Amino acid sequence: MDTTGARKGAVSPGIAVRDVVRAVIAEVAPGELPVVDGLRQFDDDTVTARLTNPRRGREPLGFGLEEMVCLATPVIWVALDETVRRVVGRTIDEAPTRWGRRFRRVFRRRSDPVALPPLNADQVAEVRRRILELSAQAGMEADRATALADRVAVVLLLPADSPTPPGRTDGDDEQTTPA
Amino acid sequence: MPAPAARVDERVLGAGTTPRFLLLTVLVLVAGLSAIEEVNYIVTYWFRSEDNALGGLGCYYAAGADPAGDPEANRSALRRPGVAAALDACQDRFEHRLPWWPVLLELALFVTAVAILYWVLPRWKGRRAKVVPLDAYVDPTGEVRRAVGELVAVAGLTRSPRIVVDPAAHTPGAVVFGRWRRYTVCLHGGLLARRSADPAGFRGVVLHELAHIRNRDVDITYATVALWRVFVAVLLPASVLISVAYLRRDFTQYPAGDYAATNVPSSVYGLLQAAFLIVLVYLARADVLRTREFYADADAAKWGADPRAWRHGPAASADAGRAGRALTAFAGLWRTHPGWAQREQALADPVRLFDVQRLPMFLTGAAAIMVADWASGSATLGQGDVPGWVQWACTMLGAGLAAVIVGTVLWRAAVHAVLTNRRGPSGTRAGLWFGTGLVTGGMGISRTAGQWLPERPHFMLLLFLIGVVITCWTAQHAALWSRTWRGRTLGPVVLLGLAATWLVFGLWLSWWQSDGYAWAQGRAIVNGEGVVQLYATRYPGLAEADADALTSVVAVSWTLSRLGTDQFAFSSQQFVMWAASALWLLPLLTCLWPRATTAPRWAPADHVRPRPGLPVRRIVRCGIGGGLLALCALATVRALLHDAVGPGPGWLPATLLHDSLGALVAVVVAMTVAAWAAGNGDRTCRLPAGLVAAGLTALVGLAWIFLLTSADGCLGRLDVVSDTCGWRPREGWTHTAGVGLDVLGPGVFAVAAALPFLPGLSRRTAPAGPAPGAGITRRRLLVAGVWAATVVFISTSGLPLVQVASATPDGMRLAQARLHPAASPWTRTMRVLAWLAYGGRHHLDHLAERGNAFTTAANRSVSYDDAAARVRPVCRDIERGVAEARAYFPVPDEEGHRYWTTFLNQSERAAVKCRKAIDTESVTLYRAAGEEMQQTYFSHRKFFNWVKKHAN
Repeated sequence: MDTTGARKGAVSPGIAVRDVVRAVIAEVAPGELPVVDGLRQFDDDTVTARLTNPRRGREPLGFGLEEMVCLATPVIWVALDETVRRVVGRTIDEAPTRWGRRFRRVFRRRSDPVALPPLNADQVAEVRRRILELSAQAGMEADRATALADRVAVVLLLPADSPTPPGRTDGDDEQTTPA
Repeated sequence: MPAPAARVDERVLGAGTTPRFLLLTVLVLVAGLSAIEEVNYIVTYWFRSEDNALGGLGCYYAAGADPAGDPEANRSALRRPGVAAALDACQDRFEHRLPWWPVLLELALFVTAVAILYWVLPRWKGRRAKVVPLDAYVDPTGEVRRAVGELVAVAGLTRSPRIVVDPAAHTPGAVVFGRWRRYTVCLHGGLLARRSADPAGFRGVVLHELAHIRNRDVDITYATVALWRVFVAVLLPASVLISVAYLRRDFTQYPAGDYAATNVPSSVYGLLQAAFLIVLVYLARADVLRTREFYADADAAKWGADPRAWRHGPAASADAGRAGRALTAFAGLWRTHPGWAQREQALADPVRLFDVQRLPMFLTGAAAIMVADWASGSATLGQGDVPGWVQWACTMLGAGLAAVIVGTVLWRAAVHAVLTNRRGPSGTRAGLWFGTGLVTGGMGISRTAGQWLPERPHFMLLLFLIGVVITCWTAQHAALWSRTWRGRTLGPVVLLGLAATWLVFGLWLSWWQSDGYAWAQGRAIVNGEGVVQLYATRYPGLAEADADALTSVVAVSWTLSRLGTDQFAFSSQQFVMWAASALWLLPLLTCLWPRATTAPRWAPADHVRPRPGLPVRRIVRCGIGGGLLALCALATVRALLHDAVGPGPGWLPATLLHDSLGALVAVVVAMTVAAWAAGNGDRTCRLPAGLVAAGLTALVGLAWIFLLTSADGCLGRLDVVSDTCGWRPREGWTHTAGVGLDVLGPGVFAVAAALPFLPGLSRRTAPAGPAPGAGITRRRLLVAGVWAATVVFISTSGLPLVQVASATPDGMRLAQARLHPAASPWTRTMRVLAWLAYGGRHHLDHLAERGNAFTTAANRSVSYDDAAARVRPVCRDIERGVAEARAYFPVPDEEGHRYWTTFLNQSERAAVKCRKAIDTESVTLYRAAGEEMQQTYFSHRKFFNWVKKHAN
């Protein structure tokens, strides 16, 4: 399967958001690769929903740590996802509702990976600004946030540099990880 | 400056959290059964037949009671001869009940729902839409899997759990869930992301979760969660809805009057029960889980986790203020995890795991009595009365769980005190909380009482006292044994101690359930007049005795003889004596070992200092002194009786009863003084030391009683009943056994109850003890002698016992019971209508119809053979009908009952005459029978008219 497959009738063919995220994380925070690879097994709707609204259940036998680790993955993924939706004219409000997602889960339907359309300089700047904003909200140090935003901007502006993620492809995902 | 103590192994004794979970599970289970019973009652009410609208309630009206009226009047009405049996028969026939199969089906559904949820919960938590497996895709180098595999091996798990990842969880933690032998550890994304930067943290977190698996926390936690959720989702709402519906009905239909006065408190307490149960379960579960977290931390650290992994929270701010700290502490009660500062501190020194916390004591007390109440009330799910032995078993279940929980906590504290060379807890503070829990759980919360407060709320203090005394004794007994036990492990003595705590607490809890609560509810403790009559059946002539104080003496003797027993359903006076003896004979056993010069063998550390055991010398001195005091007191009593006794009818039994009570008071006073004197000094074993001294005093005092009674007649001014000198050991033994039952039973408990509240004197210097092995033979002889004497005495004391039995708990005689007039015309009508509906009309019509049948058969009979074939069966029918009518309730009205009795008597006379006339072929008697039968028409008419007048 084409890892850069387009969203049906929504965007033009391009690199999948998840691949961009993985490429950047592999460079700036390789320790987070298990997190990215874990998230890549869900579809984009599920990932963004869970990253933007991390619900914490009361776990009787957890370790008990409630402090959040400041991760780069959610910042990049959410920023890119929002940009794609804006660029292709699809707002967050139109994203499938929680019940819609559940319906799809029940019937094991999974949406295709969201692909990045070609972005102009202004749009990349917007992504960069949004990353800085989300980083600040997550409590990330300013230097690290700037480096992260810059790296994402570079990857977006130089699509030819974007590497294909190593290991399994999304085609494998489809076969082995039902949503 | 004392050297810092080495770290104590927190597992030197069992943690005791499993029994706490078990108590919680049993509590929710019996609450579920109670809710099912309520639902069944409503369902049967819906399906009731038209002519049985009131169900079993109507039987009470038919019996002359008023369910919303004065309880004392009701008790009196129900104690009339034959009423109890008629009430049972009526309840069996008319009580709204479901067939057994739906009840069993409900139970099966309840259990199945819990089992399904237990099975589904971990699958839901580990669903593929939420977590991903830790495989080559997430962990391409296999580094994480290798690290986790090593940790699983370190934890010693025979079966590796499934490892999954929740990549969207940003916290650097993990969680474990699963069901029996199939566990899943879920690593959070934050933990994986930080693993390379903080490998020690990763190791600590994973080991902590593996410790939960190793400690079997997962099974019991998720079983409790499944049970609780089914209860909260299905049964609790049903129970609440029923209470709300009752309340709504009471406020809209019967806003005032007796009915509302009893029903509104019941409904409100029903709602309070639900609220209290929720609070209790949440608090108790959070408390147990917090304790288990400490143990998981400790195990993780033991397996090599870096304690720095627990360094997260800021230290408690000192300037938070008292209110702020209290608020934080209150919020902490509801959390399933302790604060980080506490966890880090517990890793360094697990003193907290040996501490006697107040909350578990309170919750255990409340839960224990609620389990005992609900289980004994709902054991048959509303399908008939719960048998006495089941009620006893339910009480012992609640008492057993409480004994193990409270006992384990106190034993742990005692052991820790020995290991750290500190003073152990006296148990007073723990007892106050345990007793408060018992009272809170027992006061209306667990029983649907028809009033806001018990009639005599101050009697609830007895329950409080039971809690305090049993806790104090357990704590001090544990301290004593921990110091003196020389065995390799503590297991046997802990088991022995817990069994004794269970025995004594179970005894008093079952007494409270059967008798004590009824006292608080306003039932008369003793009916003096009835008890004198009862004693008169065993002591001829007592009824004629003219002594003002006799009634009081007999009443006290009667009350003492039943104190501690559950109205003899299961326990007896001997049983009370055995339980009381456990309080002082078990501590006495510690004297069998020589004084310690080295650390106990069970103590793993060398720094443990030997600690003193019971102060034997002081105890013996106090015992002998107490014995002499008892002799003086006995002599005083006998001298007073010698002067007071004058010949007259019944003077002998009256004097003996006075003498018994006087001797009891004399010996118990001496026991209390001896116990107080012996208990001064070491606060941590004051109660055992005092009770041993009291026991010795009791034995010496009983020996004096035997000598004085046997030699009665030779003692001059101390003679009581005999005026001729002689040696009468038989009389002496009989009298001593009678007094001994009270002295070694309730007497010992009275001393145990008084001692914690008597101020003690502190000794400035500890008396120099003898050399370690000195006098050990004498001590062993003393222990053997005291044990032998006590065991022989208790075993044989029942032989000469004069049993005074009564069908009523307060000694009231059935003949004293009477029907109180109806409080209102409405009640009177209800009584008459219920009497008719539940069987009276049937008996009345049946006898009238048979009377008519007699007339018809007699008119048609032209020969003897005719009469024998036609009339005799009718007469037999009438005889049987009268007997059945007599087995039914008396008419619940004095005037009506007179008419009814006249009718029954006449019918019976006529029927008997008729049968005899035919059997003896007596024409005269046959004619008389016919005339008598005609008279029954008039008596029937009179009664029928009375019924017509009062049933409308």
